[in-house]
This record gives sequence, C-alpha cells and structure tokens, in this order.
Amino acid sequence: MSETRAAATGERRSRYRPAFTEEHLFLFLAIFIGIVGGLAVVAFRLAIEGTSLLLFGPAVHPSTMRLLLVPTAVGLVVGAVVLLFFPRVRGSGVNQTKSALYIYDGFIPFRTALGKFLTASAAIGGGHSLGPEDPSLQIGAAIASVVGRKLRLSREKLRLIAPIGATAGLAAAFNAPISAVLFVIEEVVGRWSAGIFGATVLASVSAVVVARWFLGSEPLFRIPPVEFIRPNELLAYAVLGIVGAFASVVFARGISLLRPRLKALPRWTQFLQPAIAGLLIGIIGAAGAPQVMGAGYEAIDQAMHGQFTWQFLAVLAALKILATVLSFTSGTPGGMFAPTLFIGAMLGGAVGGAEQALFSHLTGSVGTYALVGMGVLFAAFLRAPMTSVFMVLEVSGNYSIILPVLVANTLAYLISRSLDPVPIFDLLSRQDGLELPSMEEQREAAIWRVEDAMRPLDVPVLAESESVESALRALEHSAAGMVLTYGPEGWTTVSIAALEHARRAERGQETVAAIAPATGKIPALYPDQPIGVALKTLAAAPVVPVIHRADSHQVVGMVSLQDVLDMYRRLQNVNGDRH
Amino acid sequence: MENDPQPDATPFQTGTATAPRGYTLAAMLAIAVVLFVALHFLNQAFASRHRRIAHEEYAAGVRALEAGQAADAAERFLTALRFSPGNREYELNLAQALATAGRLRQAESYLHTLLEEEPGDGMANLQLARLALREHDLARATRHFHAAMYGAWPQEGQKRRLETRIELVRALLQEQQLTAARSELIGLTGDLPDEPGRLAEAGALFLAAGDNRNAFAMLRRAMEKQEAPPGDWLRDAGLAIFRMGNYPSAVEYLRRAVERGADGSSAEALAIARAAVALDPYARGVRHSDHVLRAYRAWGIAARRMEQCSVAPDSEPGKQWTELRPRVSRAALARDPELLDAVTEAVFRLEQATESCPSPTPEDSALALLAQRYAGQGR
Repeated sequence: MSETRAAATGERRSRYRPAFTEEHLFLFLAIFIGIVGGLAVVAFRLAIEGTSLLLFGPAVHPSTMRLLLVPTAVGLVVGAVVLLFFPRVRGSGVNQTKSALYIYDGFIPFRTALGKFLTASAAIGGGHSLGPEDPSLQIGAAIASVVGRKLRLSREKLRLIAPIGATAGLAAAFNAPISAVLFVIEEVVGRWSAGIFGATVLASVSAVVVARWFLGSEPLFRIPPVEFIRPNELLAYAVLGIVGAFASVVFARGISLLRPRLKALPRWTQFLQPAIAGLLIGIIGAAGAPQVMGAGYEAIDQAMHGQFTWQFLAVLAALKILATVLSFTSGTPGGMFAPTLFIGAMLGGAVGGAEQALFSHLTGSVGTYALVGMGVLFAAFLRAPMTSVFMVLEVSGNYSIILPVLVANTLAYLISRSLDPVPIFDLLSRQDGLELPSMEEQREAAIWRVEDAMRPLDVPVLAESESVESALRALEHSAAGMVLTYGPEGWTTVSIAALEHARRAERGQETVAAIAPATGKIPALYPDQPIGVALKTLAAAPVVPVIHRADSHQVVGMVSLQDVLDMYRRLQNVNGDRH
Repeated sequence: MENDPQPDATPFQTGTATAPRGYTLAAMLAIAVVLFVALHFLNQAFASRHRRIAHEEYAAGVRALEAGQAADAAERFLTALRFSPGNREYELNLAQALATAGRLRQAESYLHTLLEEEPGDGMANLQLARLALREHDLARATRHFHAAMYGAWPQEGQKRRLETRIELVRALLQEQQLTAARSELIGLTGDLPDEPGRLAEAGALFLAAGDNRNAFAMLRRAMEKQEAPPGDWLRDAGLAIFRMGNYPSAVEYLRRAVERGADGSSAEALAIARAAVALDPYARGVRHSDHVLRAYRAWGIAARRMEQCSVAPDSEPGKQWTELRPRVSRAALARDPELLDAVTEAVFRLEQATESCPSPTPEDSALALLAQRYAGQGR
C-alpha cells in the first residue's frame, strides 16, 4: 500500500515538475547572448570613439602630423600585440566564426574576443581603413561560445550558438536586425530551419534593443528621402550595377594578390606591416582625403547629402579601395563591411553624378544613387545578394527604392561572380589553408531529385482487389518478377513466386491483398523529392513507385538503389561533379 | 533540430547537471548586470563630454564668424555637429559659414538636408534664398523667400517674416524688378507695425520701387509719429512728392532735409525743385506776365542747353527751334499766346531730347521733369 502510495506521489511530482529542456535553455540563451553581445558591441563602439578622440582630437580635419603619425604608431602597436599575444584576431572575423562552426565545434576562445576588441578598436579608432561590424560579429560569436561552453551545452548546440552570437554582434553594430539575421544565415550557417531562425532573430532583436538603449536609434548615417524612381531611370541604376561589379573585382583582386605576398614575407616584417599600411593611409589622408580613414560613416553621410562633387566621390571610392586593401592585407584586425558600404556609396554617388552631368533628364538624387551603390558593393563584393537588398531597405526605410536595388544588385552580383567565381571570404579561408564550405557554392549546387534517378515503369500495376489469376495474366506479358499493387492503405509488391504458390494452392481467385506478404506496405515517392529522401525510403524496399502528386494511383516511374547509383555515375561521366 | 548523439546532452532538469548550470547562469546574469551598469555610466560620461565639446566648438565658431573668419567658423561648426549630430542650430550656422566662405554648394547641401527634415523651416529657406541671389537666380530666390515668409520661425516669427519680405523687396529692386517689388510692398503694408522706423523704411522702399504716392503716405505717417524726423526721411518724402509734381511742397521737405544734414542728393533735388517752382509755366496761380517771364527764361536756358549738347538743326527739336528763334522776344510772347505755347512746347521738347546729355543744370533737369509731367497731361 505504502509503495503504491509512494509511486503515485512520485508520479504526481514528476508530472508537475517543469520540463525545461535544452531546447528551452537554448532559446533563453539566444536572448541572453543578444543582450550581452549588444553590451559588448556598445563597449566596442565607445572604445573606437574614445581612441579616435584621444589620438586625433575633436577636430574634423586633424593636423597633418596627427594624420601621419597616429595610424603609423597604432599600426606598430597593433602589429606587435597581434603577433605576440593574439595571433588569431587577424582578419575580419567572418571566416573565424565559420571555422568555429564547421571545424572547431563552436569553440572560440574568449581570448580571441578580448584581443579582437582591443586591437580592432585601436586600429579603427587610430584611422586604419577598416570597419567595426565584422569584429563585432566575431566578438558576439566568441561570447556565445564561452557562454555555451560554461553551460556545457551539447556539441550540436555549441556548434550553433556561435552563429547566434555572431548575429547579435552584427545586429548591434549595424543597427539592422533583419540584415544581420539574413547575413549570418546566408553566409555563415548556410541553411534555414525553425530553430536556427528563431534563435538568431531573438538574439538579433535583443542586441539591437540594447544598442539603441545606449546609443540611440539614430542610424549610422542619415538617409535622404528617396524620390520616386521613374522606370526609364532604371537603366542608369543598371549602369551603376555594372560599374560596381568591376569595382568589387578590383577590390577583391587587390586583397587576394597582396595578402598572400605579405604573409609570405619574413615574420619580423609582419610587425611593421600594419605600421607601413598606417603611414600610407595617413599620407592619403594628409593629401586631401582624410575621409578614407577609419570606418568612414561621416563621409557616407556627407556623400548621401551631396557634400562632394561626383569627381571627388570617384576619387574617394578609389582611395578607399586602396586604403582598405593596405589595412586588411597588412594583418590589421578589422572588418570589411563598413569599407564596402563606403566604396559603394562613393561609387554610387559618382556614377549618379556623372550620369546626371551627361543626361540632364535624370532626376534621381545623388543620395539615392549612393544608397543603391552601397547595396551594389555589398552584393558584388561580399556576395550576399539577399542580404544586400534587405540591408538597403532596412537602412533607408523606403520601399520606393526596391526596383533600382534589385536591378543594380542582381547585375552586380552576376557580373562579379562571372569575373571572380570564388567569393572573397572563401578566397581568404583557402589562403589560410582552411577548406570551409562555400555558402555560395552550396546555393548554386544542383539538387538531385527522384525524377533524375527514376526509370520508366516496367512492372504491372494492379489494384490489390484484383485476383491472383489476373495478376499472373498481367505478368505473362512482362519480364518483371513482381507486381505493384495499390490499396486504401498504400502500395505493396508481390512477387511472381508468391502468386504462383497461391495458384498451386488453389487460391487463384483470391485477391492479391489476401496473399500479399506480411512485411507491410511500402512508401511511395514523388518526382520532385530530393534524392536523399529516396535513399531513406529505399532502405525499406528494394524498389519504390514514384507517383503523381495530383493522382496517387498514377505511377510515373519507379526507382531502386541501383537506379540512384546509376544516376550518379552518369552525372560524373558528364561533368565530373561530385555530390 | 537533429538528434544529439552525445549521451551527456541531458535535459535541464537532470539532478547532477542542474546545480552547476544554474549557478553558472546566475553568475553570468550577474556579470551582465554589472557590465550594463558600468557601460551606462561610461556612456553617460561619453555623452557629457561630447556635449561639452560640441558646445565649446559651437561657441568658438560663432566668435570666428563674427570676426569674419568664415572658413575657421565652418570647421568649428563641423566639429560641433560631429559631436551633436542633427543639431539644427549648428547646421544653420554651418551653412551660413560655408556660404560666407564661398563654399556655396556645400552650404546649399546642408540647407537642403535641413529642408528635407523640415520643409517649412523659415531660416533654411531664407539662407537658400540668399544663396540663390548670389548665383543670380532670382526666380529660385523668390521661391525660397516666399517659403521663408510663410515658413516656421521658432522665435519672433512676425518680425522675421517682415524682415524677410523687406529683404526680398531689396533684392527685387536691385534686379530692377520694380513691378514685383511694388507687389511685395503692398503685401508688406498689411504686416507693418506702426513704428516710425518701419514706416519710413517702407516709404523708402516704395520710393525706390517708383510708387511715389504710397511712399509719401508712409513717410508722412512716420514723420507724424517722430518729433524730429531724420533728414533722410524728409529727403525721401520730398523726392516722392517732387515726383508726384507737387514742387512747392517738395521744396519745403527738401529744404528741411538739407538743414537736417541729409546727403548730397537732397541739395541737388532741392535745387531742381526750386527751379521747377520758378519755371513751371502752368503752375496754379501763375499770372500771364509771370508765364511770359518764365517762358522767356526757359527759352534762354534751353538755348544754352542746345549749344552745350550740339543739337542737330535738322532734328525735330532743332527744326522747331530754328523756326521759332527769329520770332521770340519778351514782347512777342506777351502779345501772342500761341507763340507762348509753342515756345513752351519747344523748350520742353528740347530738354527732353537732351536729357541724356551730361551735366544738366538744375534748371535743365527741372524743365525736363516739367516736360514729362505735362506731356502726360497733353499740354
């Protein structure tokens, strides 16, 4: 009696105990990581501003001496600190986060976050032509990794938590929650699922709330009102897309050519490379283009509002490419997002201004062209076409711009891809000896389906209510060794041996269903299903019917494991692809 | 989510894993709170410093602008804006500094940015109007002046609107758009405060625009309110009434203007007015003998003018002169009213024909004005 009572009490206790699984913890952590990531990014931005104020003073145009000395000295210090204490903080941070996801089971040392914070804030605040978004992405990922490790999450969750932190960092840095989610899913994770999407959205929103709490909701640069875009002006934006594509190729080639050469130099030179890069950037700044130093958001704002002539905008775009190539390839920690936006804005304004000088009937403002230009470079250089469209919409808050953005971004993406098939992040990872999965290649890879492997129906198909004799008659004109039958509960295969055995047992007038094997029904496939689904199904049956989606009794073909293997062999013979 | 193959992926409620995880989470939350608070104070310190820098730079910019160092002022305002982005007062001053420094395009860009945010901003529109004037685009300037007049002014709106309209009128007068100027002045009278200074200013503008009647009315109202009106007011009133053809009154105003030390043009105008009074053949109350005397005197003045300006004998005035000269004498004029009228007409015609000839005497100018006046009356 007491045992029964105890058991009953125990059952009641376990029924009412809250089931807080790792899934729930994961979602809660997404919010927590978003908040902490947001705090870290706010601290990062304050560090950059503080460094800039300390080293350059408050003046918009610092003295020539400061322009030359500050980035040089900062480069010297950063170069030494990176090489001696934080060697893993080189680069933008995007590939490092991908490495954590695909190679190191989500592991990013906290030391990396600290090193990135210190060195990137010094470099950007000290005038190097780099951006804070990519480091913020890595800092957020590192914080998430630490949190996940301390809470001893499962390996699968630990692998996923780094990109969630990355989303938080990017969202807070960019003040663009949607773009951050899209970028991480498009470029880091590479796949959509409810769990990933939900967690990244929670982290992104939390991070942006925190960032806006501290820094206000003002955008990084003001967007001028976008005027109605006349359809006949879309051609002008298409030209921008083409020009942007070539500019992105120049930018990418510059990095891809110079970076390995600098890395191959003796180690002692790597202490000096950031300093030399800083000096060269300082010379550019002192020569009349201080706008290219640092992240460049103020200059983007000025370009958006027509403060520069289109000729000067073109010069700034070219100089920013040069300055960013120097900074990035020298190993100075920092990102490429802000420079990409800068180059795009300047190029857009230059192309728009030039077009208006040639064709006075064009009415789009320079600011509109600059805004579209940012998206163009984002699509062409970073190869994030979907993110680039949403990014422009998110920062402008104006849907009128959708048509020129789609036209220009798509053109830029396609042209840059045809000229430079390997995206910049994949290029950098391969230069570092890492074979990270290419999200672009994954997107572009063909998806093989059941219809690619299936063969024509070569077995008789009967209703399971048909008699054994009918089935045997159908098999008389077929070389198949079985029949496929269908009934209310699905499909079955019945071998000729089973049918003949039934006839010999004088069960010829019974239905096929009565003598069907007890092994149960076999599933059917649809032609459009991925081949992976077919492989799972073929584990249960040697051959599976492929049926029409609109009529489940209409068999369009059949597929077996051998058919799938034959398909891969054919494809390999045709184009040498591996899947 | 995919199944986790690791055996230690236990639910949160598992006894052995709960306590450490809970403590860890609590510790992390505590760290986050501490970080939040520390960042809050740091952010406040930054914001305070930024405000101080912005204020200092703005003040320095204002001093530089007042000292005529527009380029330096622009740099200061730019710096102030960097630390106080979106501050409209800073932006307006920056635009003004840029314009003063000759960087018109940049100034215009900043002002257009301000207008994008507040299309009805009075000061931004006024600044754009001034920039347009510098680029000699009167149509655009007028649009912006109007936008400024009907726009929003944070303080002293009525006064600012009035001053803006006055500035528009001055711009129109400078561009010789007298009809448009008069139209604006009519609109101005509705908003004009009843202050002597403002009335006199309006009167002067009416005078410059050629609306003598309204000019005189404004000036007279102004002088009624001012015990000792300045010489300039008297001069303008005298000129207005002079142009209206009331030369005796004009003499009186102009004489007082000269006594009050008005500028040199008053003396010249006074001499002309006096000459007009002395020479007007058709003035009210002039007897026949005075008419003859005036006509004969005018004939002499015109003759000297004809010589001075070398009027061609075969020109219309020249022919008329040649025909009349043998017949003109004081006695003949007294006897022959037709000759008197013909001589008067010839004098007027000659003085009008030689108006562009340099160095006219006050008498010549007076005769030309009388000719103009009486030509309109068909005499």
